[in-house]
Amino acid sequence: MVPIRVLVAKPGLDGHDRGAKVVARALRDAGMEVIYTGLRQSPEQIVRAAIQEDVDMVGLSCLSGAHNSLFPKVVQLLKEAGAEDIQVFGGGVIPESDIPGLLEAGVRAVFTPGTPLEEIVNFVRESVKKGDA
Amino acid sequence: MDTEALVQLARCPLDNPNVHVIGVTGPPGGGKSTLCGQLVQNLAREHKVAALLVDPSSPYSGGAILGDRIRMSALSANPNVYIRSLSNRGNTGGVNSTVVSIIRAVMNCGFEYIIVETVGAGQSEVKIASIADTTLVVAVPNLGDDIQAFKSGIMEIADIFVINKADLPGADVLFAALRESAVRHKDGWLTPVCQTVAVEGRGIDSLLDHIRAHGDWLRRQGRLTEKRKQAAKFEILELSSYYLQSHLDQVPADVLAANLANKDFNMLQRLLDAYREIVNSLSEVN
Amino acid sequence: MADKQERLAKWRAQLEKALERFPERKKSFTTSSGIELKTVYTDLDLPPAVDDFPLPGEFPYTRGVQRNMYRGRLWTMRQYAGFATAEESNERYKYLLSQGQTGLSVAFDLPTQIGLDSDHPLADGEVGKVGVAIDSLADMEVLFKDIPLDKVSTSMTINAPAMVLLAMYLVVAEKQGVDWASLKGTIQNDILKEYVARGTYIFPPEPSLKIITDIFAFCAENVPNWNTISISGYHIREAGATAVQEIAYTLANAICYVESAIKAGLNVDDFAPRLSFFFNAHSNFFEEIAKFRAARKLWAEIMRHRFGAQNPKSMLLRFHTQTGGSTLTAQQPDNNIVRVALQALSAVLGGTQSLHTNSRDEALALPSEESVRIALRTQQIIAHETGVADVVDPLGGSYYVESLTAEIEKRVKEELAKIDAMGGAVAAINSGYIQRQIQDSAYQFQMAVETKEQIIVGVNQFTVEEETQPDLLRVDPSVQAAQIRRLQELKSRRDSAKVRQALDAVAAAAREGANLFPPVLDAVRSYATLGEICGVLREVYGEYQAKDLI
Repeated sequence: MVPIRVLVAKPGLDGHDRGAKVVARALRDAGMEVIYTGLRQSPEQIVRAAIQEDVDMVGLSCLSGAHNSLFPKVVQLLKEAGAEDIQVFGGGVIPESDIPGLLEAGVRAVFTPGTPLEEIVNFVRESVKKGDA
Repeated sequence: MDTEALVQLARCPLDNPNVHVIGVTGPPGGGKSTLCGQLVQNLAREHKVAALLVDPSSPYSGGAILGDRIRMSALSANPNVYIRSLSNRGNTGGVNSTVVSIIRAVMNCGFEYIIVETVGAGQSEVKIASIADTTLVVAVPNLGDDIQAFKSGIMEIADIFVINKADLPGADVLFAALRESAVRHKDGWLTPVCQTVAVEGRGIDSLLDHIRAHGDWLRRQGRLTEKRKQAAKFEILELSSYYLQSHLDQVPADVLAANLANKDFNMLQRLLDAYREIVNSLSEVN
Repeated sequence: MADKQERLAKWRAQLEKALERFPERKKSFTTSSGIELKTVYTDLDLPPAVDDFPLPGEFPYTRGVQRNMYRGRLWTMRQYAGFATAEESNERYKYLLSQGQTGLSVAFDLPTQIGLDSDHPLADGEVGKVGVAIDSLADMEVLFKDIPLDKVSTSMTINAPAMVLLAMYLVVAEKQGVDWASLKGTIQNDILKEYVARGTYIFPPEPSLKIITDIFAFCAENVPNWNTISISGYHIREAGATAVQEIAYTLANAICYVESAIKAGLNVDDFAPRLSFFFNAHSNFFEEIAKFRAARKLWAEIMRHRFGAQNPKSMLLRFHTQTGGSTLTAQQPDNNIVRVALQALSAVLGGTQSLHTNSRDEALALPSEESVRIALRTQQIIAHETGVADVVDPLGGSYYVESLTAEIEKRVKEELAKIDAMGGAVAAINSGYIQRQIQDSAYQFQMAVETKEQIIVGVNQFTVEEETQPDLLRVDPSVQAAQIRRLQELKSRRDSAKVRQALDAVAAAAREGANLFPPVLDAVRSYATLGEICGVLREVYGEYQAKDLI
């Protein structure tokens, strides 16, 4: 069984990585291979890493309010690079009312504060399974 | 394991003489990642470089946090650079079993240098020497067990010793000790001892000179082909044993029961007979 | 004493019998730091320190930094604010001042905090989002228009480029005709915590420490009433640390700053009185109170015994507190008003010098005006209606609180000894030790929440079908475009030759190791931008590369 590979990224300038790291660990404990990009990643850098690492999913974390411009940018750049099979999900400080817009822009799911880790892990598993179909 | 893909990859040639495969190993805390980052950065100015970075997987979940890419963050925008993070997927020895297959793929995509950074968990992470053209062993002063290290396998596999964090006290003591043990090792190639301070980018040019010198020596002596043959052998051994293991894991319970109870049923004998047949059939190349 | 032991033993035996039939809610009761709590505390648990008859305002200041604390003057009610444009922030400040707030707190956007101008590629989407965008002196002038700087106390949450922002503030004061000696305020200026908990660093540790000591030296002479550093534990706690770790790593960083200043030739009593701290008021009520008391005692002893400070003012742990943002929930946001009230109360009972109370919509976005007002009222109600400010250190002498104070002190000392053995805060940061400790605590906490060992009301218990969210503050996306335009206009009307000259002088000072403050002031006066000044320093010092081990 080939492990699922996930890129966990911090786009933009936000330096709060507690959540991203906790999610990365949870995915690892669920048997997945997680590449964590570190802080201050531009959308271009994130997409490049996602393609080189041939990940199944990209998880974006942003707490600075810049998600509306940064998340869709990542989705768009993946598409332009012919890598739209790589699914994108996000989390952080994101108002409910922004979520429909993000989903429409191609982000598969948005996990707001308080989401149990199990939910995120299951989402990744299910999404990758569906993607393979 | 996706055997289809591996079989396909095995069709990519492994003998490209214009590619230099560099392995980097050494005990943890040695700054291997930073050093690899510096090597990549330097080489990437004029060459296409691929970096394969191996991290350990969790023995409990089988998952892994692959955190070496972060140290090369600044390089990820460089079009000359390809970085791939790998989990050792439970393998001891410092690398995963498919690393040679990956090298085959990368070798035929125009990369002139392939750097493989291994898991530096201990003294047994020596498999890289069977894979790489040039093996770097990175040590740092005062890690506590300098003398012990000389007695173990890891020092014997070095084509080049690197003392990183060479600005720390104890560097000259380590330098002298390595120099001594190095002279007695390889004949024809005098294992150099380089000193670097990777976080400051010092000593990298000189190290690269030695790496290139080793590459030239291998080619001149005709040893490069030997190295690649070794890598191909490693590939077969690793993949076949991995494949075998995963199949044996599926042996039905009644077969195992028979093997325990019945003196006329010897599973080991059956396996050995089967292998002998396979190996004999491989001995002819058509 | 033996009599008491005997009675206690008998009491315990009775309890054990009852527990067989009625087990307790948990197998063990622990604080965030893992300290196991007894069922009840008695005078047998009072630590030896209590026998020394500690009094507030006297070494080691466990009970408070002043003799009569809030009876003389209440803590400063200082709400963190600022967003989008300097004009809007200026309006918000005037509003808060009119509503009774006694000090200003400036929040800067992320590009500003990282020394980037609003037109930098990485600034895209971030301009004006978490605070105000300041690209040059011109923006600073708008921010403080009609606000008399000699009459307010301003706290600026700025770290890596703190020297530049403070220089801008000083020039604004200069233009208002205000003497620098009368300026009161703080710059956070705590770079070490950035590497482990907050992420807005620019340069590597060594040059960053040099910049900090330059600020100490300059201000000691020219801006004597300014607090030049707010050594912070708040963010370390938010990143997942326990109460003990919050204090331990903050004090480790503080020790590093003091050592750096002394190495740079400063006399400890010349700068130490202006050091201040910034802590978190988290959820475990009594642990927080004990934590603040322990911190005061630890710092006083470190300053006197380790650094030989003579001036009592050098030994005072004066601190600002903010209620823990990470404890607030997006679910049932009004619950957060209650959380904040309780956390604020623990800070007051812990003797804080100034306090920021979070707004209820913290987990959703930047706070709305109404939410901010409620947060301010929370403090005012505590101050004027509860009576807790009428007696100093009211929990002093409590068997539980004194015992907990001593236990926290002990554990912090152990952690500090570990860091000392590693070679100090910078070494511990470079090896990733502190980061790993924090991440482990964060993960453990998350696991406790997942298993419901730790209940978060409204999140993993007592949930409801969530209604639509209340009115949230939205930052107008056209702010970025407007700011970029302003930048271009500024660049076209300023004297570029003068700017170039000033920037070269900054670079020269950096290379020579001279104090950077005077050339930075000149650069600011010439309307060089923040990005330009920091860019020049980036070239000389390089940028910090995070190693980020998980």
